[in-house]
Amino acid sequence: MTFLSDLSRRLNGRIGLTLCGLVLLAALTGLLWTPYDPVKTDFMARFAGASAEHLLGTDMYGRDLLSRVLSGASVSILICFLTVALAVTGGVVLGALSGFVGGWLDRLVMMFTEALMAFPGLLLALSLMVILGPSEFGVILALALAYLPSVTRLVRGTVLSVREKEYVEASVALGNGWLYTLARHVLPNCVAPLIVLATTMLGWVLLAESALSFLGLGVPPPAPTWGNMLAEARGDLTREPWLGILPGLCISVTLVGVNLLGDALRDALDPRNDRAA
Amino acid sequence: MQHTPSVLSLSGVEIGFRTPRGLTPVVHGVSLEVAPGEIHAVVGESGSGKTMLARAAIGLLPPGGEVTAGTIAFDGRDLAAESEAAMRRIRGAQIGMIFQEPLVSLNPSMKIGAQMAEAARLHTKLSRREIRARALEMLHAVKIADPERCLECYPHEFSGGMRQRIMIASVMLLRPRLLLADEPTTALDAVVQREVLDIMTEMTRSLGVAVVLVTHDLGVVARYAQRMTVMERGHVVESGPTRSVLAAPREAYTRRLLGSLPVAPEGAHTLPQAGNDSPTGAHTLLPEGNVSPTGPHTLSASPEASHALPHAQTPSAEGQAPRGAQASGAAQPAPFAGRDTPEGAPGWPVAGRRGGADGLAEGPQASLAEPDVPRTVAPGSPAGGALAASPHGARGAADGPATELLRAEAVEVSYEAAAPLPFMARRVNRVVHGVSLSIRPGEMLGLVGESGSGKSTLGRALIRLKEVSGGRVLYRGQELSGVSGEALRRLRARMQIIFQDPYSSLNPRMRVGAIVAEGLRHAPPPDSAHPVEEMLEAVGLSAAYAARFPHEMSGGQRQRVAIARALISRPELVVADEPVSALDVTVQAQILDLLRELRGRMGFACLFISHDLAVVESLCDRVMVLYRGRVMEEGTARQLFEAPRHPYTRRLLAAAPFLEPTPAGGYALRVLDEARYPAPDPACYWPGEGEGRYELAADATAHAVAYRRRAG
Repeated sequence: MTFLSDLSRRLNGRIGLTLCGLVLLAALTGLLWTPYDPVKTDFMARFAGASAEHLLGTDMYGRDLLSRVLSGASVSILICFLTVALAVTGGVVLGALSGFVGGWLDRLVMMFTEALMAFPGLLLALSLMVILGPSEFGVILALALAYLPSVTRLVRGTVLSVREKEYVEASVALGNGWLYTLARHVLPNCVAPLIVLATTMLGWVLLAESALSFLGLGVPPPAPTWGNMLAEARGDLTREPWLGILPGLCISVTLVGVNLLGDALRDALDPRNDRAA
Repeated sequence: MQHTPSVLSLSGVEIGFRTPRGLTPVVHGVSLEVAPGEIHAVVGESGSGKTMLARAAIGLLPPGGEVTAGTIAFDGRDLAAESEAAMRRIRGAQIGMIFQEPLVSLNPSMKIGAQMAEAARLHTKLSRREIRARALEMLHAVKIADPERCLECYPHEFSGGMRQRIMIASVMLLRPRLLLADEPTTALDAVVQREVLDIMTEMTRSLGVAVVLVTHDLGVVARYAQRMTVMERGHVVESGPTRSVLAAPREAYTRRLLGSLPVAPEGAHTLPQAGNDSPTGAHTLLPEGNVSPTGPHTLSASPEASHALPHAQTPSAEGQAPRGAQASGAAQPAPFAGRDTPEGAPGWPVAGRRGGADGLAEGPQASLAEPDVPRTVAPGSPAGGALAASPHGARGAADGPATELLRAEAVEVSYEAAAPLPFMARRVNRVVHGVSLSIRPGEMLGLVGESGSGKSTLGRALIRLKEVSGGRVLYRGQELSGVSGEALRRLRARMQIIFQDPYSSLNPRMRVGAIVAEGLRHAPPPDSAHPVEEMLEAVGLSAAYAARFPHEMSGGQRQRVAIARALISRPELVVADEPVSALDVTVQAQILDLLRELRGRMGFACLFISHDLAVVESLCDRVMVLYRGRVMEEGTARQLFEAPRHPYTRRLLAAAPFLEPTPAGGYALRVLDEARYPAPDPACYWPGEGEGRYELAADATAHAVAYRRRAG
């Protein structure tokens, strides 16, 4: 609780918490209840403007935009967070082992990540999606793998520099095992750049997911995600720009919120910033 | 001095920093005058504002800083009235500056020649050829071996000392009238420091340049500066001719600064009488004799002597008896029997309950508190006696190698550089070449040498923080490299290390309490209920510090925490790797006193690694001189400092400016009594002299020197 109050004492923490809270609320609502069925088409009400009936209007198939945004929130957010969580977990494990243990393990891990990095992330995800077939699970796995190398390399680099600190040597001198030393002394000091990367990655994943959806390899339509809503709006952008602006706005708000929260989190986790307001 | 007009004249200068909360003053009303050809030292500890003063003189204060009052006059011109363009013409051309860090003050991507010419092209109308000629002349003057080639080289091709000389050459190229040198040799070794400062002095004197030498090193001040100004927290404390300030310091702060200098133990400068230094080094094992700074070396080694001293009067004396007996009884079945037997274990926590008497016994040491630290051991506090147990082993260990704590035999340590291509052989860089040594329980062994001599690497190899690549290390007869798993962990708790930089040796994300408590993870469980708090109090921090984070503490306080972490497991051996060289001189003295005091109470043996000969002399029983990974000379502190036999030892001694107290109550540079040195032996071994092997030959007093081994 002190941690949350510490977060909300910072301005960026307050804004970040609010925005992220809003997005989460939307996602939760979308999961449980939407005004209309988000996939039900109504050709009598195509491109309907905002009205009491459709608060945010309808799209080219007459689907209720509010429902689609809410429902899309739950899908997009779930995909994003799971993807980032997976990439970060895998990257931390691989990068920490690679950087701390070194030797042949390091070479092996670096060969693996370099092989992955040889392909553009999206291309890698695309080819994986072709194999896995379009599904939410497939998107998560493919994107996580695509972003794994950058996390691995970041963690490895940070671990390599922290490893040289004398408190790590002191821990070894005290008789602590390497796993304990890694977990207690090395990783906590690698958190700051990792948080920055993770929050940035959330944005990339949101966009990458929409790119995959656009190519028909993401979450299969008609299930809404912010990404495929954005993609679908492309054809009618000149006629009805709102269709593109709305999901774009949702993505932007989420990104701003997550980034602010990430900054605040990084500061709050660092005891050196205790006194900062 | 009065009739020569000053080159630099500061009067009533105040410097402040703009912060969101207003102006924070850092320098208060400083006045000083620097005459041509004079070296004026500005001395002070970190935070005294000495660097700000120098930077203000050249108009290069860091952002936010400004001169808020007073005048800075250069050659009679008020610098505050000069425009920025005029200042740019003055900078470099008339006021030169040398920075502390030679490794970063030269541009790594520019050739030396281009770099030296840069300022000359800017400020003079000299032709390319004239500039080159002058650069060569300057490089020659700073004794660069091949000036022609030097101009075509990049900075990374030179060592730190060489770069600082090049720096001096390029600054002096423009014949400035004033030179500001901000800790120009702090990053350099004593020998190199002397070379660089000698050259700087010679050049500035011959060209009549005024020098402001900003430094924290009083020895350097004494040797090079004609006048000095002592600063404390932005104020001038004392100012005057160096010799008279040192000989008769008037102000309390100056005296405190001088009093913080490590001083050789009393009597160290009388040559030892024959027989006084027995082969086993009676000097070494005197009980308590080296614990107090003024430690009388006249105490006899009899056990009664230790009881005559405050510590030993503790009621825990009955607890000492079995320990002492055990340690001296060389027939310990298992190496660690002393720890595991029931008699071995009590001692400290038990003694802790007897607060009162022990607390009083602390009296003599109680006057050395760091100002920002709550008093070390409050009289009567339970912790006062917590660690007062007699050092196990130290007392009764005078006999035989069986009580040797640690023994290194022909230890070699190498670093492997990454191979240029995968699957190619790695390049091996050997740092320690066949060093043998032994440390007895409770002994303080000093290891001196310049940077790169392999002393830190050796220290780490001895406690297996670094694997040896040759030879072996025995801890109580057990070979270290053969130990692994749980046994190794338990062993590690008995051999600890204190690092040089207290800023990087403490995990910034852990609280002090947790940091210190980690020391107990693999140690036998302490009997005390609050071992961390007691340990914190023993190192002079109150138990309340347990809740702090390292960044909330000063450097000295952090080093105390590092010491607490190392000592809480009651190690038998502590490797102290330059534990005070990152600290200010007054804090340094406090930490050294603390180490002495704790060693007196806990009796650990210590390998004290340092480049500072004065510190080693004041602290250590025996000293080894390491040069390029080889031992050059070894002996008691007194033998080495009074009668050094190896030329390298002499060079080290001659380079370090020692200040020592004079009978009149002041301080003066110690004059080395080179006339009394034994004649140099041409057979002494120098690393790099061919591939010759060498051996240490010891005389009857265990004073050993490296000699070339005769062929065959």
